[in-house]
Amino acid sequence: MNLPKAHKLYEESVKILKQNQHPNGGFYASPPGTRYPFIYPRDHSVAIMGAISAGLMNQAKLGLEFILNAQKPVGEFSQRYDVEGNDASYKELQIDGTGLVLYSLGKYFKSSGGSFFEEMADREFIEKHWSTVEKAVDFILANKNEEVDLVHTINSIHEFPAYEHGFEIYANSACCAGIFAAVEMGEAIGKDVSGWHDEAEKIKEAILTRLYSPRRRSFIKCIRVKDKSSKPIGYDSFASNVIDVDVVEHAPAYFGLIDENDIKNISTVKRIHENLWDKEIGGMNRYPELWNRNNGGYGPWCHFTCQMASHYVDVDNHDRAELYLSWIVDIAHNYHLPEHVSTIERFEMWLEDYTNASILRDSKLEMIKQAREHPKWKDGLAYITFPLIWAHAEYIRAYSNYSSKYL
Amino acid sequence: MLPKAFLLGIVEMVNIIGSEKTLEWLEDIARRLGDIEGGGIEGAREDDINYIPISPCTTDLVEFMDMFGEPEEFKKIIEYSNHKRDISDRGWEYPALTNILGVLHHWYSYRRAEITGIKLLNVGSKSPFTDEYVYNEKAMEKAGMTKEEVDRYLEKGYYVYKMEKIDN
Repeated sequence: MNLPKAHKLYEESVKILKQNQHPNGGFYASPPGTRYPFIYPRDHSVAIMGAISAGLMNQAKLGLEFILNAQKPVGEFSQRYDVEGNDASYKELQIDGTGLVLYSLGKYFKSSGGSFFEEMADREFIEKHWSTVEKAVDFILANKNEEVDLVHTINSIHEFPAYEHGFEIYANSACCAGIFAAVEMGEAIGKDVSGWHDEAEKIKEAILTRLYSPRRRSFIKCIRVKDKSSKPIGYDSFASNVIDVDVVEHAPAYFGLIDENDIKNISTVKRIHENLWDKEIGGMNRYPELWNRNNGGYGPWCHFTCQMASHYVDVDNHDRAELYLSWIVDIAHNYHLPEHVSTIERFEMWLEDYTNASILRDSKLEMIKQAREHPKWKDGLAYITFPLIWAHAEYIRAYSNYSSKYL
Repeated sequence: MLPKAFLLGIVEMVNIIGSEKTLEWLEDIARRLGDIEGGGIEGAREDDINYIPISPCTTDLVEFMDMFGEPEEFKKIIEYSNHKRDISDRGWEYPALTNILGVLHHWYSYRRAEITGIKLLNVGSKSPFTDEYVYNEKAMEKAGMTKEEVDRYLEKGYYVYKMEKIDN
């Protein structure tokens, strides 16, 4: 790996993170003038964790203040907000965002005070927002199915109900970890949160049993169920499993519910690498090509590649960690990272499919124009959504992890 | 079953309490749903224009109308809403209605925007059944928009709103 370049990319990523935080606290998903100039709780939470990793605690706190104040009356955090904190969603429930806000708040709290956590931790901030935390946990638990102890959602990380509507692994892992974080914060400020702890343990157990396939030796993506309260769920009109490989089947370890070295995780990641490492371009795809829903063409995603690099650091697979992280360093253009990369051939195939099917929305036209005008187009590559703040936040976390172990 | 039951319920309500009271009932439901959902503005934005690229709940209404046709009771509610708009000094706050669900959608959206400090002027709507354009002239006048300007957004959306900040 080109280490000077890798370090420069880290420094530039920190700058990009700072530059893309609105004075009100929201981290743009992508800068104004690009595809996602809104604040998405999912991206925003990862940006907050990137800020924490880089030691930008004031920025992390400002980001949390913004999102905690934007909670909906029912306790949910919406799909996305404008810079004023107004709900600007256009998609249905994606409950992982609510789990992620709690999880990133927990990360902030644990990092506050540094080595002097007991004396200096920011308990005041947690107390100030405690009713928001309570409402968020209540909202998650209101969406938990009592038959299987899993949380129901319509969308999750890919915003793709066709494969995520039901009991989906990323949403469940995020929500479970979010409740555990709420338990830790509650205990630190003297609240009785034993009931939440029991509920989180039930969800965790269900993830490790119902969303794990011993014969495949892998976590699975989703138990498809249409209605969260179908009783029994076996009679639900969607009742089935999604067993295709998805990079977020790594979510139980990503959210710290199990150790990265847990055998279930190791074998899951093996399946992910074998099926989703892009053999033409390199980098980590998010799900199989035949799902055919990669706007801008099928190809590897930077933030998922960073997440997997971090996994390989944790399990001390130096070669694989370097393979993943160096791909990110090499794919960066002017030290900026795209959402994902495709080839021109795949880009045109996607465009043909979506045009013929009449499902190419107006909002995609700008993305198409920007991909074709990007300097990398001349190298045969389509850079989609450039830069994406989430990718830089995950790079900050992965590079920190890598450098603290190997440099 | 529930969407059909609700739509049939609207028909029954008009027969029991009349179109005026039924309109108020629907407006109240929409505002209460807006309160529960909280502040926000759905759909696409271009500067101070907000438009909804898809027509919400159309499938339910189409299925209902395939079975029952368009009930006279729905038309009476739309006529009464338009009448209220025409005689009101605040006619700009009423919807440009193409179908019964527009009542719910408008007052729900209006309330959610109001919570965030924004007034939504429904300058025009497009029928999801016939693609016919319908305007609220009073809203257009207050928004300072021409039909041609509204039409540009109706080509790509079903509900078009001008967003105005509410002065405290």
